[in-house]
Amino acid sequence: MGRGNHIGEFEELVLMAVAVLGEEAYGLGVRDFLVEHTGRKSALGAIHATLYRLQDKGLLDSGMEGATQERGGRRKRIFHVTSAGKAAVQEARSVRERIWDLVPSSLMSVVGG
Amino acid sequence: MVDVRSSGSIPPRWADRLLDSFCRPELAEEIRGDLIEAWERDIEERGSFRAGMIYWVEVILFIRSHVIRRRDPQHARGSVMWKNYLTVAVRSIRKQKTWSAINFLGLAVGLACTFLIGSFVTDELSYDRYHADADRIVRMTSSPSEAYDGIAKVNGAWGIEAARRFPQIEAVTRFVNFGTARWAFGGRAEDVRGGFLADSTVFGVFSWSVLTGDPATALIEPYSLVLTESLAEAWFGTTDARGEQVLVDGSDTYTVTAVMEDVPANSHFRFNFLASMSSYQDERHDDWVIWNQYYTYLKLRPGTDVAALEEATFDMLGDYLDEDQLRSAGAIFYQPLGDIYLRSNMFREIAPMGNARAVQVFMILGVFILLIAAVNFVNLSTARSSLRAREVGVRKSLGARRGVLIRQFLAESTLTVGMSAMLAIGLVALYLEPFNTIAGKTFTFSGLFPPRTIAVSVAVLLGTGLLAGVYPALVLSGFSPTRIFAGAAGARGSAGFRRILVTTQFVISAALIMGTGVVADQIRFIENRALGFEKENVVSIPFRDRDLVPQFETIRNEMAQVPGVEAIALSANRPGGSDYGIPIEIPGLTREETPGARLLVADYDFLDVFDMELAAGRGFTRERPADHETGVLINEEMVRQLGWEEPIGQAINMPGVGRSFEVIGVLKDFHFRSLHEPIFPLMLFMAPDEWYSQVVVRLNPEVTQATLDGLAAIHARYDSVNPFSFSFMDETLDNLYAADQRASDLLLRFTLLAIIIACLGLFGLAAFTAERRRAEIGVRKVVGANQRQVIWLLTRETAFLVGVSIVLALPAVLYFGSDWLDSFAYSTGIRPLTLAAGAFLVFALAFATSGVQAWRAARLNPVNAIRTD
Repeated sequence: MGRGNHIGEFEELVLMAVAVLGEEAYGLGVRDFLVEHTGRKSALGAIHATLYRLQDKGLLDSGMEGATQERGGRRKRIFHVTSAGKAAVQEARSVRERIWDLVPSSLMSVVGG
Repeated sequence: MVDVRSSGSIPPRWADRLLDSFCRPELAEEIRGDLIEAWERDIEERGSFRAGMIYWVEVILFIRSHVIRRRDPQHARGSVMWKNYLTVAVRSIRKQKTWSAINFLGLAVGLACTFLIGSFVTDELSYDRYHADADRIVRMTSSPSEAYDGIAKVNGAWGIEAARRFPQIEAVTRFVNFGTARWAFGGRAEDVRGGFLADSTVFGVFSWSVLTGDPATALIEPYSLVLTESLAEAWFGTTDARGEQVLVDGSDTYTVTAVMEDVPANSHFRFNFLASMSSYQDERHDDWVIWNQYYTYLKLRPGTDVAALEEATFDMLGDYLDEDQLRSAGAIFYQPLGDIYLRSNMFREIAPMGNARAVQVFMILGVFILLIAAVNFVNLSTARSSLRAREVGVRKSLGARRGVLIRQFLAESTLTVGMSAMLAIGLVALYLEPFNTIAGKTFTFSGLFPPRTIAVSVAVLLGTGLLAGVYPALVLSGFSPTRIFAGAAGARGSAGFRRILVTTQFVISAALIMGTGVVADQIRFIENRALGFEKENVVSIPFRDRDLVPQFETIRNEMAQVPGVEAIALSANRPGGSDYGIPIEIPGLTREETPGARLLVADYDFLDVFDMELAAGRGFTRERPADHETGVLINEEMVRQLGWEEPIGQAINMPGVGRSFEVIGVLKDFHFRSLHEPIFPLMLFMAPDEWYSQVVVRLNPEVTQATLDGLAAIHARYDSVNPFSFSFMDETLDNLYAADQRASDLLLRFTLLAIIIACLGLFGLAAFTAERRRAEIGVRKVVGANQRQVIWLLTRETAFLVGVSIVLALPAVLYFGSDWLDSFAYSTGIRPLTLAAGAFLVFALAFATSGVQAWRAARLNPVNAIRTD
């Protein structure tokens, strides 16, 4: 596992949000998605910083989209998951599942409630 | 979605500016877009105020490494340069050790002084402002007699009735001195004083916080007691002392109903307990005329016209007082709470007050000291320029732009100021205790730095650093390299400016020295002035058990047997203390023609105790029992004001207490209170037993502890409840001038420091001059000049500047000096000799400092001097 591919938990969530949102994957869109699906409301600054960091790591790329009326005429930066990004999500998921399999089933049922 | 234009609002502009200041430009559009979109949504959901707050928070949370601007190459160079500035600054500070030390020390002492003075002034100005509604609270006072500025307390019914009648008054609360009382609790008994009886509304007017108990009801029931935190701790070891009971003066049992915070030190009066007004046994508390014992505070509704209310209140008095009484009530004044401490100088004040004039003087002094220190800094830095001209030339030749050089010098000055500031903080810590003692404050080091003070101090420091640094920076960076290397450089152009600065310093120093002389003269005058009675060797012993007064002749005889006792009298008041304000009537005179008189109440041997002299007639004597009822002594001033040719035998009535007097003697004038006040008409008479409160005793000059022990033993035999205590009259009287004394002490010390700082600067400047003119001096000596001529050459400019300074300082000293002296009824005036001595001192100091350098320069071997160039 290369160092550049390692991603943290929040980064993973953001990455997946981008994958789900498609053409709506811009800063505020990602935050709304995360509020809806995790109940966590992060600062816009935190979302943006994570998006830029993931882009620096080569897991996302982005482009500016046309202006709309409601943002004071300002364009959005729409993010897309790169192939390296897809690989990183896959990697994170498989790591998790490998470890998940190692947890004793007795404990699992307790955790599962 | 809402259109921005249609909603008519835009996001917080300052938040946007903040964002622009740190955000990478290429990210600005998308980030601002997201922020606006979220904000528009928040406006709909939470309203524009909340949305604005959220916008701010979001902007601040954008300050992250991936968002903030990277340093461009331009900035990278800047940071390296700053490092270089610092290195050069440290080097140049080290290279010039003497000058740096002078600079540091002068600035540090100046900053420390300014800081302490600033704290003092801030504290004085903060009195009583901590109450939530301080701007709506007033004190009701009246001016019943021509003799006083006004009386700080009024009759009990006045405030209550005014609050009932006028809707503008939201609440009223009154305080009456509780006096000293014997408290007993759990086998423990002590004299407790410093408390008041107060109305139950006290916590509705003032916002002192109540720690335990209900502020609204704590003082309703008779014999309720509210203790301050520290008294509760001292007596019951807890701040929840509710339900505890104390036996007061062996008769009344008070129950603690609440405990409140200690009254803050910056309050115009303080107390350690409040007892409910309903426990006040004096029947006169609804009285309209005589018993004016109530300090009355009102909380007014916002927007009340105070002048109209004063008039309405006076009209209200007309419903209850007859014409004479109304006239003697004078007028009603509502004093704003915030003005009481510094501006009120009334009779029977609730506590000693501060002095607005002193606060002004110290404010000016603080600014002056800072100014002197900053001027030093500017002078020394520009003077040094010639020595650094070469450095500037080299830097410029190598391509340094002016801005870089300016930054360089600003970095140096800021560094110096910063280091001086640290030294100053150390000095403050070191000298805080002595300062507290002199200034009568209780500042603690940690308490000295609330956020506001820190903010102000940092602003002052940066301001000083910049101001002191900007001028040298501009001068030095302006040198043309070609001129520098042609040898034409130097601070010639700035010499004129420097002269102005030095003159400014000496104007200030001269004014301070001469001003201090004037103050010292007056203080000495007060201390030495004959008061008209002998204050030395008189002790006053509180006499609390009034049931003992009928037996006093026996006690007096016993006390007279104690070796060392010369004379004994009972009295109700005494010189330097309070007096009574009872109106008098004189047959044949109208109310207006009757002067207001101070009343001194004492028995037979009072004149002997104080060595007071009679101008005519006789004193009280036991041989004439009538003296006890009808005898009165009046002073010469009263005779003068009444215009009586033959005062003996004249009648004076006191209808308020049902007394009619006959004048039996005339007292020579003496100063009843401080020399701030003129001598007033005065009456001395004997009173009913319950008026007496103390025994005054004249002791032999060789007073010994045995004498006092003897008196204590007799006291203990008759009064088993109250302990024996005494105070010397001269000390009590000196307390009347404590504020003057304190101001003069502080003034003297800070003046001294200001002068030291100014001399430090002059010393550095003289060193610079001597150094610059070394070659010239060398040549002069070779050609035949002697040492004295060389010294004169170097000091004559200083002499001239000091002369000019003194001439400029004189008018200020004369103006402010006479203004201050006018506050005393008796003053020395400004003595020319004092001014001359001050001027001489300034000359001497200036010569001494610059002369040392001149002398050193003059002694130098000319060969060495000339060879260096």
